[in-house]
Amino acid sequence: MTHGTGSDIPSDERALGLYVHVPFCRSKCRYCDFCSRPPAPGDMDHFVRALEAEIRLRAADRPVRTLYVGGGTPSFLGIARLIAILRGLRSAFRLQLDCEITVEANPCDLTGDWLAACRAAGVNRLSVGVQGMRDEDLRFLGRAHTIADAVAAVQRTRAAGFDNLGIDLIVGLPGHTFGITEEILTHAVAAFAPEHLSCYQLTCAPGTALHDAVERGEVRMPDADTEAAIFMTTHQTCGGLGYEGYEVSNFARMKAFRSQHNCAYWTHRDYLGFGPSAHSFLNPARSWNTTSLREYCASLERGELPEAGKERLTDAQRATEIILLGLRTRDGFSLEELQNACGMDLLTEKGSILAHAESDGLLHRKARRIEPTLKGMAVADQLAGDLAPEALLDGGDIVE
Amino acid sequence: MASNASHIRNICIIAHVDHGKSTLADRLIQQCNLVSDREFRDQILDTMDIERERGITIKSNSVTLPYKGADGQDYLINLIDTPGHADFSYEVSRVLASCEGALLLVDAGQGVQAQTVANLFKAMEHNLEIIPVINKIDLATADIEGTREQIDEELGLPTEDALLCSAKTGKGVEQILEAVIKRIPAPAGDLEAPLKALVFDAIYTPFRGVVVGFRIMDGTIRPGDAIRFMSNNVVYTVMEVGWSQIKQVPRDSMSVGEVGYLIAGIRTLADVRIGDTMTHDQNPTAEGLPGFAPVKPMVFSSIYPMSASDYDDLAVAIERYALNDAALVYTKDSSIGLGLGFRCGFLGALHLDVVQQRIEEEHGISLVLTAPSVVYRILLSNGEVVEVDNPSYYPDPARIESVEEPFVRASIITPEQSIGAVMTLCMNARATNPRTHYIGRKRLQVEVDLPLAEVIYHFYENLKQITQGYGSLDYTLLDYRTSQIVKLDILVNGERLDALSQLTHESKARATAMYACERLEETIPRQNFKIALQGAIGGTIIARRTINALRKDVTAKCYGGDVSRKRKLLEKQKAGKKRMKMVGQVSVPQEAFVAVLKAPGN
Repeated sequence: MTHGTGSDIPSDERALGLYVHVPFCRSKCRYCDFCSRPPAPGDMDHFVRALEAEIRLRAADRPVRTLYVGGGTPSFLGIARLIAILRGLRSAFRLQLDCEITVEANPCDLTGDWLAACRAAGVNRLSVGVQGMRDEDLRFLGRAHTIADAVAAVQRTRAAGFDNLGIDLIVGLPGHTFGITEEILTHAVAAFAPEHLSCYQLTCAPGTALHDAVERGEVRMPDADTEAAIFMTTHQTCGGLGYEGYEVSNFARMKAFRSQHNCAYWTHRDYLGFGPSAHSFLNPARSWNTTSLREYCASLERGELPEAGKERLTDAQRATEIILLGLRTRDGFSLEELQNACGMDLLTEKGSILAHAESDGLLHRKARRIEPTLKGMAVADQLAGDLAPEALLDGGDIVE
Repeated sequence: MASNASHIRNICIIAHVDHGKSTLADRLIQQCNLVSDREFRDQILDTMDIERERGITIKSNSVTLPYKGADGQDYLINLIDTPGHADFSYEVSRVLASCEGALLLVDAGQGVQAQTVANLFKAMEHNLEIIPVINKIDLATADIEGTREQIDEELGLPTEDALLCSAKTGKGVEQILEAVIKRIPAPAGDLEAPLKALVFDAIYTPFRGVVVGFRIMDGTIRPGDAIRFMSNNVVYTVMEVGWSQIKQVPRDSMSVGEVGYLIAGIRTLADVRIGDTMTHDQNPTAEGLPGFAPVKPMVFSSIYPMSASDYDDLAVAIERYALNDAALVYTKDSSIGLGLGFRCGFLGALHLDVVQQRIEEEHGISLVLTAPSVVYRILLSNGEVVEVDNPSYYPDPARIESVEEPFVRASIITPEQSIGAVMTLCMNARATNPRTHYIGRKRLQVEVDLPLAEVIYHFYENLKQITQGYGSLDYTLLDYRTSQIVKLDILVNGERLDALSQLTHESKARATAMYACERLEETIPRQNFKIALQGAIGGTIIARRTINALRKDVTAKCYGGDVSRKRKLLEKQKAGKKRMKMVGQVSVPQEAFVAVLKAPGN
């Protein structure tokens, strides 16, 4: 039996997602472990030239349904460079008419001119990095703006005609209780009435200033039980405010306002990534770019893809990814897709684990899908480990 | 050089650890020009790395030194090195029995220590002529007069006999050699009597088999002789005898008073017992030498490889180690948590340490050891007495009439300012019958009876710590006493973790159980259900901790760049889970067992 890649559509007609990683920001926030840093003079132009070269190298005659410019801080790049990038992508791919085009922005960058130019270039969704709803939290996070700045910026966004707005928030800061979490979310919805909310629990990643502060004992991260309580509160509060928690950290006012681009990641669709550290996935092949801006530019100057590594997923690895991504979303994953993609009959292979998990209230077994409950979504990592095929341990080929 | 008993002197050096025994031996060897400066290396008698590293001698070793005295005569001085720890006191006693005299070495900076006293008394029991030597007189901290006083007051030896030396610089070494030939008697014995030789050492070497260290009491031994080991009646033909002079120097014959090595094609150390008597098979002596005792392990522990795949290597390592250490006994063992391993018997806690370290270092295997146990004597209600050193074989408490545990008489020397802490340490170790007296002006000697089980459980480390390294300890086995011993089990959701069961005194059970439960709480990952961790004596729960159910572990972000990293984490997690032991429904990682079995800090 051979396994397709999840669809009968020929691969050149399957829709692509595009992601552009802008590796610059004004200043590094203490919690940030993304590939991003303040640029040296000339870095930005150098980067855009290299990026345009990468876009040409990866050009494909395939329809594109979503495009996401993230980072870093894309709004910090300046409007002319942003427009140049969009132009490059439009000439290299078939952007569909209803293509979701998102740009991440910091409140301080949202000027009337920038917003108008963005609209004109076809950007139809903004993701605004508000992050905190209390000035003390913004200071703790090392953000440059205040609450007042964020409110004014969002007002300008609305005035410029953006009707699909996402707000990023960070919850679960040291000292936060579930009461504070509820207040923050209620306040954010009242102030911005966004179509979409991303509420990330603060994560302490090695290599960040936050991690160093925790190691030195200056900052104490919430314990496991507090984290769990804040997770539940976040989902319950957002639900009460009319936002469906369709993923671990993502909430939408209506199904239509889900981030289409991110949903493509979670449903194992194909995507191409551009810029340092960006990943590309053309099922079953995945590759990732170098995180070094210097190497990135140098490779492209030589006319080579700036890839640092690639892997070809085994059936077991693909099944694992479908399960681990699916369990992070309210929609779960399709048993049929699992069967088609990787020949895994989950109901047979993991029947007793599924039955246990269902009786523990972690998931529902629907006719053709497995859907996690909120409680199940909270322990998705462990659940995915239990449900992943045993053959996963046999490994695949990774070429670094 | 003729071997004439009147020109032989047999000596050993007795000293506390670190008082410079090996350095003095080095100087004596150099003074007698036994090795060229080019061939010389420090601690030349310590053959094992661990001996050099720790400054502790664990095997006996001898060297025959040719010395021309001030009287113009040629002498042979046999210097026999002794193990330096209470665990090896039997080996020490056999060396003492091979000598006529001893150099009692005292560090001028540290003064008389517990082992100095203990060893002096042992030497006196063997009627040895004692030459006190005050060492390290070159040190800035040297207190020569104070040390003299201690030798007088604490050891009762005439101070005018004490020699001064610096083994480091070589100062006073010549005087020591002169004192040895003048003050220590030549060996007595009957050249015509049947052979009677004392075995004080045996080392296995791959090419020559067992090399026996011996001292002849009566008679003569030659290559070709059929000799018999009297304790087990095994007979071998002598292939070679000779002097140990760093290298082996074969001799045509050796007789009364001489010390040397013997090779007889002996393939197993089990045939050669320290303290045994060798005699001629055809013309045996009537009676063996007194003082022989078969080795008896005092401390037991199970050894497991940290990684189950190392089991075969461990089996080879133990077998190889045991070739050279007849005191180690072992049998196969297995446990739910730790898999296959070995139950081992040791002479004491240091012996256990030595074995562990040598296996880990020489074979590159990480080990986990269960809590060390002594041998308990259990009187059953039917009148039967059983000895138990392994909690797995502890009888049903309903059948037990009473339990006895071994006690030792310990001698501790401590600086005055630590006496309070030392007394507390002893009391916590269930000491009885304490007697304290000043020795010198600022130090005290504490004599107490302690359960051996407490002595082997970090007692020495703790003593060192509370006395800033100045405290010293020596002990000898005393007797067995009735005690409130219980079997403590550690349960995870009601299931017993056999590797963590231990026999312990009732008064210690709760603290031990709590410690185990807390370590498990830290190391067993949260699972989908609540986990009860309990310490139990029979059906009674004496300690309890709970691991709450896992409520959230999902990471906040998972976008394009995170997917393969996430999957790799999950692969790792899955592989880790595969290595965990299922105890009922609970997955317990091996680190959890290791955390409990690791020594608790103070």
